[in-house]
Amino acid sequence: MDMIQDDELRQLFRIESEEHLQKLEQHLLQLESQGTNQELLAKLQREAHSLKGSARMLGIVDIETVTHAMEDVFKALSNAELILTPEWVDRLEEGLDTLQKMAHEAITGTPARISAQEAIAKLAFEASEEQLIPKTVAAIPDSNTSESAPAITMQATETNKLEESQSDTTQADKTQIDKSQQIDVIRVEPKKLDVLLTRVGELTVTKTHIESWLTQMEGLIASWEEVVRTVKKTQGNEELSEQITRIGNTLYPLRQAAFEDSTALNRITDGLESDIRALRLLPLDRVFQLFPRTVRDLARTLSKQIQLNIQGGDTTADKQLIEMLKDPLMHLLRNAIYHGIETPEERQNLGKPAKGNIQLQAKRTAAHILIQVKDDGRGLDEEAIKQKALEHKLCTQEELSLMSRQRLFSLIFNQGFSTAQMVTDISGRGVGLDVVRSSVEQLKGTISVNSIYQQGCTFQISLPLTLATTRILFIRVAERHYAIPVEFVRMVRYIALNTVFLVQDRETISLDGQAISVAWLDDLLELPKKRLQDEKVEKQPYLLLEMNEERLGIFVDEILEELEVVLKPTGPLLSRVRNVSGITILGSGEICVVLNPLDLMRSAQKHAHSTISRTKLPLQDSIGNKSKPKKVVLLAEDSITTRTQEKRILEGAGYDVITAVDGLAAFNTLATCSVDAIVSDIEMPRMDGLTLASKVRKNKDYEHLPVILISSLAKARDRKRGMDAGANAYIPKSAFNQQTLLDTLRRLV
Amino acid sequence: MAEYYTSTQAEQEEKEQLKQLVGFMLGGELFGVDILMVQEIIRSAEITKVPNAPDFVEGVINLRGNIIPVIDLRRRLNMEAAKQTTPSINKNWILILTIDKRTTGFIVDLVTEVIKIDENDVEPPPDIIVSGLENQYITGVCDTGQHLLILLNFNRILLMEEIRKLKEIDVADK
Repeated sequence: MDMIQDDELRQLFRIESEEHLQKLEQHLLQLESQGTNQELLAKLQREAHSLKGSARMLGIVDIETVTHAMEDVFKALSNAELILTPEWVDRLEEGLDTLQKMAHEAITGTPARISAQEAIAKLAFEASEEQLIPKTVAAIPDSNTSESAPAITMQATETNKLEESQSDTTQADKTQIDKSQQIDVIRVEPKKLDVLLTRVGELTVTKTHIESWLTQMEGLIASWEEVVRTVKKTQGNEELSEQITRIGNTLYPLRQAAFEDSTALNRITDGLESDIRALRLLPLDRVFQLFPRTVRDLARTLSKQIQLNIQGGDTTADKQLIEMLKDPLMHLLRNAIYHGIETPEERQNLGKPAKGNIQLQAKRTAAHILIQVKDDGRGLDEEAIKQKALEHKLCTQEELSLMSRQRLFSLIFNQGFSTAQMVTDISGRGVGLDVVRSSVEQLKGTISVNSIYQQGCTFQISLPLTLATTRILFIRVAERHYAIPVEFVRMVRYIALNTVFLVQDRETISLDGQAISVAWLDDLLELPKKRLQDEKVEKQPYLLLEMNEERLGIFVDEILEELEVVLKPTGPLLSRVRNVSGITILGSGEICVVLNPLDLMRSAQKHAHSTISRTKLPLQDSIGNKSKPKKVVLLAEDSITTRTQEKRILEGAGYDVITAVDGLAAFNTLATCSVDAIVSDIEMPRMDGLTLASKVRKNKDYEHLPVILISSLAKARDRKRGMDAGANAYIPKSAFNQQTLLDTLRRLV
Repeated sequence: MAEYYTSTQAEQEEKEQLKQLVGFMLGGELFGVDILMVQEIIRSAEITKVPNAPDFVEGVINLRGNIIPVIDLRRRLNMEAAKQTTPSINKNWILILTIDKRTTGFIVDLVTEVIKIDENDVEPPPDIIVSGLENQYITGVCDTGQHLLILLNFNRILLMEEIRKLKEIDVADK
């Protein structure tokens, strides 16, 4: 089988086959939980039939024959020639998998290496006597299969009912055909909608700009009125006075027209924007419906009994949001299955029902979409979290004792914490929550967790409704203008500078009885210092950023206004700049850099070490900074591109870097140079990273030298091997990003 | 007459190999860039700095609603920094080039004129390094009679790998 050659046909088939396959899967799962249900079987037949038809039209024989075989099974099931057993559900699922792979091949050209014959053979059935059990006899599934599989209830269908629904189906089929003659839906590529939305975003910005003309016009009229008064007083030139009055005759209607048009434009733009947004809205079911199958399969492999309840799948959200939500949600569910829900025996010993429950719930509020993943499993163990946090120096004992439960739980989203889970899994949560958090943050959302030990765990994700435009606060600092997205700005306040105090060398303010660290925006952005320090300033404005229980006050020179902007593409050269999340052009044509609140908070943490009360000792700060010796990192990596990239990242963060082309070279370097940490790849010629790590560990001199392994192997087993070899941290390349590496390094060195 | 005829024919042939370049000065050297790559030349645009950006990125400008990064070509090529004695630093010229479908601005000292050269006169880059400029960015040189004209390889100047490698070389030299 080959790829469909015609571009247009291939696109069409992609859309169509996806739809059919998704429906097939959905109905099949329903069939599994509800047992033989004529209505469902009819739907399944219909889906298989349509898919078969389009496959035949495009000459994809394999898909055609396999769907045909599946269709036959559905037919036999609905005619009661075949009895629905868990085994048949599995076979059908398998068939569906095969179809998915074949469709993928037809669309992308990647060979699926699947034999249609084999798939058909698995779907073949014979109307043997055993299966031809009369309907009156209640079918009892084999006790062996029922134990391993989630219970499938068998419904003995009455003959009348069966006939009734069959006739219904044929009728439904007829109307379906009639309807298909007329085109009532036009398929539009999502990309085209994206373009539309960007255009509307720009329109909104222009609209705001036009609105500002009104104020200018008011000013013009005011000065005109002034002129009229002056001219009247002087009583001189009659002709001039008349001319001026004539101007007035045009000015007033102009203002009126401008006002009306601006209002109309406002209404139209807003309408247009919400209409286009609505076009991009899809029900969350689009992702949710992928989960029942995963949960079922995973639960089965782990011999756990799990019920997944989905609520609010009809909640709509922006297409982009939905696409990007799939992975984090899948991760949370997998964590809940692997680490949250206990085995049936454990659960029964604890007095819980054997069947665990996972709830996936979505709802929409005025400004947010809330998604909850809730399980009734082990929950989080506060003590274990505290212990881990201490072990990995995330916080001190003192800090821990002051921490609220909520704050304590939020530690598990920490990068350091996740890697800490490599060896054991005491707290009942797996690795990679930091990845979940960063995906959610990418969507400008937040995630929080709550839990009661032994009773369960709830993750709540809160997301904004749209990603197309960004609401920003327009501010001024060091004579420059910047924008900060409002999502993370909790409040804006003024404070007298003489009330700022120091806590462990960090500038701190007190807000409602809580101590909050503060930083100066120009410091974080490393701007030239133009600010004059005046401790008597009564009203220094600051923004309070808040994210996941972390708070930071940022001093700025002036807060100007709140605006809605569209981020402009900046090209690869500036695609990832620290502290910057994008660039926009304001209504005035002025370019404005939009800052990244997350980066700012991280920068503030880094700065904390260097800014020692700058208000009092402005000079010592920079001197102290320079004289501090740089930490030395030994970097072992055989690929030149990766090596260069990593070296650059490390140097950018202020480390001195010694490079080695493989493990052996790195090990030899150790003898001649004193280093503070090793960052190493795993697969390298001559000596790999694992050997390097274990050799380092065996040598008394380097016993405590931190070793970070970076590898494309991401399985738990590989992590374990890394840990066994003596590595302090293991970063899979898939999850690799600058921040992960730097955070890990900072924690260890 | 016949002689005249052949000479015009030769001229015609020669013309076909003529290349038009936009000439510009940078650190006292004359450079040239293919006129087809030049979208426009602007003066004294308002450059907005981007905090924490790579040091050779001078900032961004608003070019009719598009955001265009502006590169300090001197710094990118590791040439000595412009003498700070000239206060008219804002009066620099910005060459707006389209490279690989991407529009980027380059700050140069002075845009001189359109120069026509014969492609046959272009020689491979010399081994000597002009003004501390690594010759990896030079496509060739051409003697115009008055000056030695340097043809730059802008594609390479913008390649991200090149930018990374540059850092690597910097460190290796130390």
